[in-house]
Amino acid sequence: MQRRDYLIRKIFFAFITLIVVAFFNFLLFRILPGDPVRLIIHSPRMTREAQERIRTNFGLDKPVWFDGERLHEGDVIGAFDSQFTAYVRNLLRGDLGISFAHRQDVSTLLAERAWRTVVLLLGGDLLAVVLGMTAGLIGAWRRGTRLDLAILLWGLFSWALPTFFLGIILLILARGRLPVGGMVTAGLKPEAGLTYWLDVGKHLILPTITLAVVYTGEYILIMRSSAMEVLSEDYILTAKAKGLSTFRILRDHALKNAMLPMVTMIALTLGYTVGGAIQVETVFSWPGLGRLMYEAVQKRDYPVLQGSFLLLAISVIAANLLADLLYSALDPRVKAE
Amino acid sequence: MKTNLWRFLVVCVVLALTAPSLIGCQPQPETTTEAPQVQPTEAPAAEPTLAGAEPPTEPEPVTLHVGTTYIWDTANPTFGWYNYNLRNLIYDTLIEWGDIDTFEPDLAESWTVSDDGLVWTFKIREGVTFHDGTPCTAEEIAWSLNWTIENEIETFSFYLANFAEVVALDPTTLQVTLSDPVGNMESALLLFTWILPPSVWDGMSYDEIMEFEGVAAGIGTGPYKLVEWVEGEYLILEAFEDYWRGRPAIDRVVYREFATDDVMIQALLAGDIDVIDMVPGPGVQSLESADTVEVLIMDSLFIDELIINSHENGTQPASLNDPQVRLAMEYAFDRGQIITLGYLGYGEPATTVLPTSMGDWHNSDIKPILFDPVEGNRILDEAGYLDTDRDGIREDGEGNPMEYRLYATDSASNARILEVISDGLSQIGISAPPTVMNEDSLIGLYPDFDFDLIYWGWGLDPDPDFAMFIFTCDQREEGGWNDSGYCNEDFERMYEEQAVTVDQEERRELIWEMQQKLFDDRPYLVSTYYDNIQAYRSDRFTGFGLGCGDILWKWCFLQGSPIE
Amino acid sequence: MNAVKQFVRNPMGVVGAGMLLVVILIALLAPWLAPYDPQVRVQVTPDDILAPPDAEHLLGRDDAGKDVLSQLIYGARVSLIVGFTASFMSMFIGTTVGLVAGFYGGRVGNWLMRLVDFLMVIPDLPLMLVIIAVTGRGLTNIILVIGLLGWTYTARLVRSQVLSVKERQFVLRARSLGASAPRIILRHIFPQVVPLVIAQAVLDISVAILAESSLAFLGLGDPTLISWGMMLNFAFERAISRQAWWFLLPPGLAIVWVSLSLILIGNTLDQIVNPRLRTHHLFDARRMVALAVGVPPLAKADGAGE
Repeated sequence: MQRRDYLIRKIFFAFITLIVVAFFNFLLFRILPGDPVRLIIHSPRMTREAQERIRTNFGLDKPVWFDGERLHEGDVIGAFDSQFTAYVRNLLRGDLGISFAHRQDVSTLLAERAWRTVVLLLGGDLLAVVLGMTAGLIGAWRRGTRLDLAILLWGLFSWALPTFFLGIILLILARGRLPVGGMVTAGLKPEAGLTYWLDVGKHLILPTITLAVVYTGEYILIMRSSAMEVLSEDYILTAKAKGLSTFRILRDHALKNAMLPMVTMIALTLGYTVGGAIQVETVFSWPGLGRLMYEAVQKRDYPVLQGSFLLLAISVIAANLLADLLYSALDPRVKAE
Repeated sequence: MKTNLWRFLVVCVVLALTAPSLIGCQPQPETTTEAPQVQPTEAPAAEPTLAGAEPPTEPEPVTLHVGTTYIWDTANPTFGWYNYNLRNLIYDTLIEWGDIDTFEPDLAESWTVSDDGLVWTFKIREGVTFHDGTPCTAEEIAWSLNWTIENEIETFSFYLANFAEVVALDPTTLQVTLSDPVGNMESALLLFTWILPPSVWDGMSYDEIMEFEGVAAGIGTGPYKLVEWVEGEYLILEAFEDYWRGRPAIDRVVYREFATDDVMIQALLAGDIDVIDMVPGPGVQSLESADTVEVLIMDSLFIDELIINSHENGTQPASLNDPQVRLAMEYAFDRGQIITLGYLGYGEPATTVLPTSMGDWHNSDIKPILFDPVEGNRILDEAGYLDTDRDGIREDGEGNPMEYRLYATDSASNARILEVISDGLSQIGISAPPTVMNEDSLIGLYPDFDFDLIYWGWGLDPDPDFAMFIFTCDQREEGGWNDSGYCNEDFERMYEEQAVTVDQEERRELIWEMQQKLFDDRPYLVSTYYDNIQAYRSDRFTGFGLGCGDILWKWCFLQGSPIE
Repeated sequence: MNAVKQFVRNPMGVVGAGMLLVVILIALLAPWLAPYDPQVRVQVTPDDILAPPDAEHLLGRDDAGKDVLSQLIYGARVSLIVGFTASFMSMFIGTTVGLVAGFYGGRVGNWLMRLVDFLMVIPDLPLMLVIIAVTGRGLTNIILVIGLLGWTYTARLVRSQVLSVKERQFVLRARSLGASAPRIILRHIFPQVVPLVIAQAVLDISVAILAESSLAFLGLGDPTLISWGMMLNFAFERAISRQAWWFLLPPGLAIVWVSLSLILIGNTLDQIVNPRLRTHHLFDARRMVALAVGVPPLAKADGAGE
């Protein structure tokens, strides 16, 4: 009973947060200086009428919140025909507007770009988890040895490594051996089947390695400390007494113990991970969400930024919620605060 | 090169325009104006030309990969400005630019002009078809030009301002009547008047035209068809079987977009791409050391300049309007260092607005003023700007310190150039700390002309009209081209006069006088005429014409062929 | 005193502190250490640009023909200033919010924590990019943006600590004796929170330094400031094709050096503050998750041994 209340509350708050994000999004891009129309207008030679037409098309001719004058006149519905109500209306319909720079539906654009970033992050994160957990486990198992020290130092080092710096170094080292930019050789289509996917895979190698190396640090340190904690527990002695090898104990208990928090961590650090994606995508010209956002910043493409902020916020909120659910399902002590 | 606001767009257009006109240097290609005309069929290419002689397995198409930092923002030619050379492979014009300052017949085989300069008659080539198979005769060309004028199609209608009437007298004769004579008629028809097919564009409202997107927007009569464009990634062109000069030797041209120049250079060295359309200065050295790569350093119509706010609305400090101050600034403007740091030496110190590559149009009587802060200091001392409070910065008569705002767009090379400018000015007691910002913020200053100094650039038309036009008063309106706020009666009068002067020698004299005027009033301190640097894989391709200053320019590009 | 002893006994902490001290000294002594003044422009020829290391320029020259070593030395100043000020700002805001939210709880506390939830949902780097792109890229703006967006984690950390401290005997006693709320916060709760906050702040410095360099790398730094991130930006844009490793590697390794030193120190401090944990909370997934999810910290590993 209590758990259900707890969950309902969590979901409710997630929902509220989402609404606040949507509102913040609207506000942020209205208070920033600069006339977005200048951006949509590709040419200075466009006539005034044409400019006005574009303004109308993007709804920028309407008042931001409401029209005070019309409200005064009693035209309540007309008065609230504003940018804000249009924004809310469109949002409810899942319409994120049209990109200034790409002249394309933002939702389509995001859908097209987001999965590439997902592939990148998923690959990088998975690799990092596998590597990090293995190394962390070995470190804890061989605690105090040189191997452990090396693993620990490696963990700390990669934690301190700026993503873009590692990317540049790999880019230089790989020159001529691996593709250093883009997602696929120009013109190759998914219809080409295996060839296409192999080609994408080749383009993925460098960015994935970069992300993996940078994220490994975190996982090594987490795994190592988690495993060490397990080793200090009383029941380990019992297990040892039963004749189980230390490594086996670590594998069975420490891994199990660390698994859940690890998975939740991945979900929770999603927002932070996007920062890494922007850097990697910039270095390797990977046409994903990160680069889309970076270019949108450069071009002041507000609809795209609004859309991607919302998309990221939804992902982070969903991930948080999922982490919550996992936790409350598996940890008996979680109760309503 | 990542941002795309209008000023930059403008620069690009004009850059692109300039492409063909660069005073090249290298041997002239044979001017085969009339390349053999293959298959003047009016029907779409029903069957491929391989008639049995070919082995059953289709040969691998010859593909040329071009690396660029930005392909374009839209496939729609009516408002897209980027990469003019690319669009020029897709569309044809009546007259085209070939080598250095030469006009070549394109869709018009020949033309005559009436004695009063008002009626131009063009003989139109026969057997030309659009990529969609529809014919392109004088009728369609007349339709296209009229449609451009009626809809005020941004990219080209500006150049057709004096066109009173365009009619097709018969399928091979086009007659254009002007309201006033045009001083640069050939160049007006050259670049901004792509002939677009009525089969695609007829009947669209203005909004529909503006929103039109996709491969169909890329239908023209040019040697290449637009096949695919993935925004931000690549673009594919395929040889047009029925091109009136005959099918081009290179089957496919693929443009690939790169986030940075350096990565692009790596890709060329590795053989992932075959041509780089604009090599940045720092990349030249590493490319020149490779045997398989040919680096071309060509004169261009690019100029970069320090804009001095000359608008009379007074957002700039009063001292900046003093001609003596501007003269002193000229002495503190270290062009040599700017070219070394910003362009790695690939540029020539500038004097007037018109680059030397424009040949006779460039006023060679104007002598460069060399970097000499001592002389600059002397001028300021004499003009009464003294450092009365001894803080290292001079004050004007009213005690206002000579502190100017110095801006540029945010690129690594601009940051370096601003360092040089700021340092030079500090040597004559003027403080101008550099600020870089993105294109949009810079353009945001324009409606009010709220700046003092901006470092920016242009690519100019081969014809001097445009370069002079940007200093006319009307162009200061929001959305105009005038970025210095300069407005001068004498200059205005000379501009109007040259526009209708058909005698080119007379016109040249006027243009020279105008350059002198600009040089004396200094709305710009032009820093450099810098080189256009391209590179291609000489182990894979050969024969590109070098006279255009841009091997991707249609005229020169079509001369190229793969090495077997 | 005891804490100092403990710190000194930890080799990692000593190494970290030593590494940081080196950088601080370099930053302070920059004018004496640097062979050239990087602010002074010299006349250069094209050959000077990206010239490889030689006797006069131990780390070669950059794309403007200037000495790389001198810039590296001066760059330490910017990185440290950004790191320390921004982290101090986050520490201040985060601690205040955490204290208030934890002590008063109720509606105010809830609202504050909702604000934290909300800020945590918006990805940092893109938001920083937007704000800097619009407001301009001066040093102050960069510090403000990093500082103002980086306090959420500290707030959660402090709040959870306050929640557990607040129910302890001595606080309850002070309360029953009628001590005022500010007094209880300052006298009784604050001291319990400080060590934790400091350990966190040290780590925040490295986060801030990394953030500054990322911004600079993405072209949103102040090009008139010599920072390591800015050097990398110039190197990435202009030096890669020339393979000028002498311009590329030093600033990158300098960033690694500083953040590594801070992580070592932060880690050690946390071990002293939380002797029972033996690892920094950042490296303890359960505690981190607990903090982020908003569940009170777990006292013990939920292993099978319970």
